Amino acid sequence: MYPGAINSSSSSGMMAAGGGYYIPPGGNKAGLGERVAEVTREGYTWLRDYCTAIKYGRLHPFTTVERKAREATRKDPWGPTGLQLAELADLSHNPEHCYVIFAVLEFRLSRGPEKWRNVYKALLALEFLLVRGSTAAVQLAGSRELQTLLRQLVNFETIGHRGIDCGSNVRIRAAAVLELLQDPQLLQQRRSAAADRLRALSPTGLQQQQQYSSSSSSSYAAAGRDPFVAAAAAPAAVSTNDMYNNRYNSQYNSSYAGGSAGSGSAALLRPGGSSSAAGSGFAAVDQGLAAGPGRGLAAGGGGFGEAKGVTFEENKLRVGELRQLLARPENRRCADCQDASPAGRPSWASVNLGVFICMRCAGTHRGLGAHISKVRSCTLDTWLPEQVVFMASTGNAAANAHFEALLPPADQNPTSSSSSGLNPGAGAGLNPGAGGGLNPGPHRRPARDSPDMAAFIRQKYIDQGWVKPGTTWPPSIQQQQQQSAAPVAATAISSAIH
Amino acid sequence: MGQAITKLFDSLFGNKEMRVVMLGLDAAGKTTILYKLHIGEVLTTVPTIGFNVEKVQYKNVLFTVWDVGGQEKLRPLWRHYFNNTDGLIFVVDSQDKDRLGRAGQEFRSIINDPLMKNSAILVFANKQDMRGCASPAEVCEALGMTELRGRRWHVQSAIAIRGEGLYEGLDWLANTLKSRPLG
Repeated sequence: MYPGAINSSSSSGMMAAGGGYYIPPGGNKAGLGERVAEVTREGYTWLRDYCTAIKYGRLHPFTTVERKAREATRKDPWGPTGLQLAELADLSHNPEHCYVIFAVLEFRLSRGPEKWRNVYKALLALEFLLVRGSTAAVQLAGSRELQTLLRQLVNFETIGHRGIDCGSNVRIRAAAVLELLQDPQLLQQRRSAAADRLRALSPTGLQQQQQYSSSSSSSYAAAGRDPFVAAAAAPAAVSTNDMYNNRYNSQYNSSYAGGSAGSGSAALLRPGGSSSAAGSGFAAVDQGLAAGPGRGLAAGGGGFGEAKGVTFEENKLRVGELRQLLARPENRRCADCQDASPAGRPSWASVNLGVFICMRCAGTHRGLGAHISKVRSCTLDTWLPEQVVFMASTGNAAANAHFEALLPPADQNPTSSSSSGLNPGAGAGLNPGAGGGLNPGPHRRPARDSPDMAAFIRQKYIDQGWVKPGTTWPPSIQQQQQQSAAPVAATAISSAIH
Repeated sequence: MGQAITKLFDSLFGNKEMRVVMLGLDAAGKTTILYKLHIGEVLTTVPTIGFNVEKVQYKNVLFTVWDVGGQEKLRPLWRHYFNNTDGLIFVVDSQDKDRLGRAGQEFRSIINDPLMKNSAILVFANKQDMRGCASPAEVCEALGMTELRGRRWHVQSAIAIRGEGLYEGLDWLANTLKSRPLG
């Protein structure tokens, strides 16, 4: 199952024997008081929903599906939870439910800045539906009205209490959703990755799903599982629906009129036969990500595991050697941002790329994943002798000669292509979750504080955009042996022997 | 009488507070998880030297989450955060398979501390979107969860940068901590 969703927890801490600490969530042992509180809370939200419905000129309360979609996008400071999202994705396989969900989402998305949390949560739900929902959901999301709305949201501005820029949440998410909508290839990639994950984890996932649905809210789960219950309730509600955008009404009505009436038509209209979550609605294309160039790097050297059983004295030696390495002129500046100020003094290193970097770039390097860059602190971590030897054999000068071979010098005037690359919205660095490296990054080294820095680092190490073709990293064994004649490396080796 | 009703009302609808400490090797994603839960989007973080502490609301539980740096020299300081802790969140970088064993060592040394004997254990198998990452079951294995006796634990796969799986973990933690009177 999908990690975010229902499952994924491989197993819960059920006690094997004795003890019996584990109590299923909301299970029998939950006190009567808890139960009362739960029911009261649900009743209250139902009443509040009904009031909202009346406010918008509807005399009947919301339907089950509407309430689910609303529930996922309320202004609570948490969620939408994976359970809620997975349920919406399930429901999207039924065309009627899909329209209802999108009507609610679009209603939420068009709220003002003071309702930024509803907008943000609707964006999260929309993104999830794109990746995990039915193909009908993808088509609905591709409508021009929704895209216009999203484009407006990219400039969403609001300042929350205590001066927090809450608008940035909406801006970033809207940009990510828009990118997904405009790049069918990326969308397909994300969808197949999600389907793969869903499949890989399904045995435990189903089990977990049962556990959750039986405990927390059985009524919800039942309605979600059984399309007929919800479908029977839907028609009356949506046909007289004036609160949402008209086009959902008309679309809904036409699709509903297509089948004769009632639950039978709902079953016919469903694209997948079963109501299970297993992603039956979309074809899972098993294309996978193209093998990244970074993989060669990860295989490049051994001994990147953490130091085990390194004594204090040994580590003191290593740290002393590292200090000598850091004192070399080429290592006095961060390999990536090249900042010469004291804040930019490298105190971190990537032990497989062989570069010394500053703390801020270390943060970005950690976001690349351990298969690209393994970051260690020169002062707060323990080091292995071979790691120090490797660092001695490379260093910033050698590494940049490889990774930035084709990078134009900083003082060169930007060409037309490079100025377009500097557009702050264009870089994958805007959002680390967007599956970086698909967009062209900047073509020059950005300023240290620039938001392009992350995109630059991604392009430098993941895409390896400036590596001269035919060269490999790390340097070959012979080169390393030549280099290891350097005094620091020699002491490192000798101390490793003793 | 009035006081009694207020008390009852509070116990039913009031927020419950839980103190949670979040630990794990460096670059596991602890700070990203904390701020994803607290404010929403997280772009980049810098390595934590010291700690971050934020309050995170989930349903009617108010978690006070302590996120402590995971660099090797900071790990001996972890035990100073153990006192009076209701829950442990242990974050594992599922992709860094080289260091899964190391994560297991640190994990065992935490949970065997006398001060942590009664805490609920939530493990986030983070970075599940990366290629070639360890599955939650493998993480379970590496941490030796199956040999744990008399503890309440749960392994949750997660993708912190997208917020997936985080609330499921909190959900378990909230229910577990509520279901048994503390202390």
